[in-house]
Amino acid sequence: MSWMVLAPGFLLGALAIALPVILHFLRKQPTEVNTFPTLVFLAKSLRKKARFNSIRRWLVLLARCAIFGLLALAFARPFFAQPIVSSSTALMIILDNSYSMGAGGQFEKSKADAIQAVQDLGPGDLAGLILANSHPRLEVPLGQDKDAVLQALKTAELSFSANDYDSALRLADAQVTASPCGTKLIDLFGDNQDLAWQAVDFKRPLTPGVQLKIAPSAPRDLEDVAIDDVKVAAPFTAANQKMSAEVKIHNLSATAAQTRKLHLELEGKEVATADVSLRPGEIADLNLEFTAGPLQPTHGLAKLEADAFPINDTRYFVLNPVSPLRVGVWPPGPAGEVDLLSVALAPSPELATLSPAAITSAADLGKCDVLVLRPGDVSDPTLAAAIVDAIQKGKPALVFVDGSHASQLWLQDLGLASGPRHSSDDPLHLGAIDFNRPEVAIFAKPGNGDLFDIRFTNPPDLQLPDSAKIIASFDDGTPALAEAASGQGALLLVATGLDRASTTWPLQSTFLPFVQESLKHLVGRDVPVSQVLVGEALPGEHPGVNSDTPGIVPTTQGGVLQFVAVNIDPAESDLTTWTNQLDLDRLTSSKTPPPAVSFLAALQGEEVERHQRFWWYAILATTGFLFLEIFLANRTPL
Amino acid sequence: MTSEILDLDLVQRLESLELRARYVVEGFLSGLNRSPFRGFSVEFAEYRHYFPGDPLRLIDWKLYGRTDRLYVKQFEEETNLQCHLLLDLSGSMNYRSRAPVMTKIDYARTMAASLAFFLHRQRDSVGVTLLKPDGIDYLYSRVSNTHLRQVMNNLEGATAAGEIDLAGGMQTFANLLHRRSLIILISDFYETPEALASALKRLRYDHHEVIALQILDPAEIDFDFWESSFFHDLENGARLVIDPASIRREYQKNFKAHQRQIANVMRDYEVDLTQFRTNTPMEGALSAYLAKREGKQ
Repeated sequence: MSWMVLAPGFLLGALAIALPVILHFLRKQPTEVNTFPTLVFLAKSLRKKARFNSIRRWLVLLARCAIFGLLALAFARPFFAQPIVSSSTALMIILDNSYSMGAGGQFEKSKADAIQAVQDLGPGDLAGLILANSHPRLEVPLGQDKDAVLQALKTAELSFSANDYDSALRLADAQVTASPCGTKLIDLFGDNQDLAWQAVDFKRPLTPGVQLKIAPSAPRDLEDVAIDDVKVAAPFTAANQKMSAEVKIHNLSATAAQTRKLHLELEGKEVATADVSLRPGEIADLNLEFTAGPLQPTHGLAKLEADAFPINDTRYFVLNPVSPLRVGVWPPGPAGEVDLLSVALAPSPELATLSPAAITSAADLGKCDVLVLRPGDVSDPTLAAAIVDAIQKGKPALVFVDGSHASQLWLQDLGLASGPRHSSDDPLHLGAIDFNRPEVAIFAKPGNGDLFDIRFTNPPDLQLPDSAKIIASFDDGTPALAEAASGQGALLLVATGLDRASTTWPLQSTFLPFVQESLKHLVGRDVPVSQVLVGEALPGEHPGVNSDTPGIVPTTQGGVLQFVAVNIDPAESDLTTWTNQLDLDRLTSSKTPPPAVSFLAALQGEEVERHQRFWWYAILATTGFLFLEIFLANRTPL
Repeated sequence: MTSEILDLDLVQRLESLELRARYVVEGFLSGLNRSPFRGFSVEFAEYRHYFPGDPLRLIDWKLYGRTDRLYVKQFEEETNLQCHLLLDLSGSMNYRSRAPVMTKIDYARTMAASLAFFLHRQRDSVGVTLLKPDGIDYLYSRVSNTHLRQVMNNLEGATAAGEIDLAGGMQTFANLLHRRSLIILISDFYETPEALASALKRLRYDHHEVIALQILDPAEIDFDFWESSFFHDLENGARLVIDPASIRREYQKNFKAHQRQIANVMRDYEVDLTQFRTNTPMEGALSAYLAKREGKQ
């Protein structure tokens, strides 16, 4: 152990010690002379006190010198550490603690190997520890405190997360690169799982000079059947509702067929069972029907009999009640034709999240959460005025407008305007779409439908105020979908009629989800999140709970209590080993290492602080000497 | 008694020692209820039988006529005291802490002069001996105006300086006395108790009565100094740098111990010790003398 100072300039402050020394030896001699009959008694008293006062004076001098000296030393920030030479080794341990490490005792074996690696280090070598899972954590920064690393290794526990070697490797790389050691080594202790390496960017090698060592691990073929997923098909909208759960089961054994019994429980009570036989590697979907209980947040689980890797034998699910959104539609659909809007609003009982109803009087407006207005017969001016009034007082509405005179009047009543298009009758398509908008966000994913295929014939040219937000535009640049306000009400304007002459949209698969998502967004009712993976952010408010372990957690979403199922990432159950050694070799750079950084620059903030606690002790001692000086100086003659 | 009458400031302002003595004595006397004078006078005191050799002029012939026996008239003059004043002139007596307090030697001289004047008025014979560094200055005792003037002159010229051997001077003085006397010793008694005891022993052995009047300045007792300063010894000229606050308690302890030892020595040799502060009236000295004289008679 040696020491240095981080701010040596402050040591010059120690010269101030000369001040009390000079004052001590150049004490002011008294000028006053008192005559006295005899000094016999004074001399006698003085002799007795002289030694005592002399000791006190030296103590005062010592205290004063110590105050200046310690202050200078404290501000110079002494730093105690083992000197690091270029021959030292910086070893960053990456210990995989994803839950796949629990299979076959791999975690305990890796911990023992990592402990041995740290113990093999010599004095002056540095060590650090990263626990690698889906959120890699720097458990012990690279430093000289190897005991801290050993202790952290001994107490390390498995997580319920999947793995991400890439983030852990980059973190370790940054740590060892910043060290002044000649040998920079990352030692990875894991199960070499295929999944963990898949996300690694092999095109980006580690910093030149950093060596990667991967502890060997034996392939594991366990008799393991996992539940990968549980889905409940229909929304939970009524008490004692007949429901079905789709359970995905995976035989992870590559060599042995497996037979298992699946149990489905609701609130701790078994509500359905099923037997399943799976060939090696087979994935099966099972549908289990059950009857839900009262219309209230409910949780359940699907589980298999425990096997060689029990962590993936259970999966949680929740049933959160959904109250249908009340939708008022006006005016009525065209007589004698299929009302495609009504179909989109109520496609089937399983998707009964909307409850549409035709508006026939002003009294119906109060029973609606949201309005859908379309071109048509608006011959009842009283009802039309009541609708405009309701919108301007805050009722949200999805409004389809065409180029008809009636639509123009509508828009005028709502404080907006449209005009006829001067272009030809060639059909238009959508030219630009803001997929960040929730109304159309689902169409950003491939396979969910293509909005650019929709054909529009002679749509109106919406004249929108600056405050309106364009969601989609036609390919001629005019607005097709826009959000605007009328009074206090929010409007989602769609520049098309719904008849087949105006557009092909109602006949396309994208129309139904668009209508449903738009109405939910207008009302502000997003679909509650019912499931997250371990480590993911929980939705809504969830005081005092987190998603670190599988199970059910209560949250408040939109002011309503909702259960959220926290499950492990099923992909982590696949214990297939990564075998591409060539890719691993690519991670090690062949370039010339950069020059070593200085010792101090290499230390982490906390470690620098840990090595210079003398600063605090010096300040404490200074305070003590200050009190001593005050105590003695007031009681000691010159 | 008369502490309200005597004004020390006024005493100090009187330049002549004799005037000071008169002022003190008159002030003292005016406070007494009766006259203390009973000494030399024509007043008859008592009769005694005539013995051959007695002066014939003292025979009371009228009484002889009535009683047919020879009696001699005895007067107070024959019973008057022989008194010696011993004055310490060591340098320590030259101290005064602050004006208007008198120096100890001034206070002592005034006290001695007052006593001499008082004794003379009482027709007691009075002598004065000055204890100096180079020996003693002895003046025998006698009752006469001329002698009183000589005593006053000696006291007037007495100055305190240097170190003296108080006990040695007392021993020398004792050798000069042939008649039983009242000795009034005026000093600050900065002498070792052992040496003082030895000198007092000698005086008491010769059957002398001794009154000790100790003169001290208030600062010697209270030691009310505060600032660190040089302290200069008035006897031997030594100097010390002293922080009074740090040693005050210790000094007072040592000083009181010395005073206790001196008092013990005095008590052992039946010497009446009276302590005077230079800021207090001095007629107590006269009272002490009177008390002693009464006791003696």
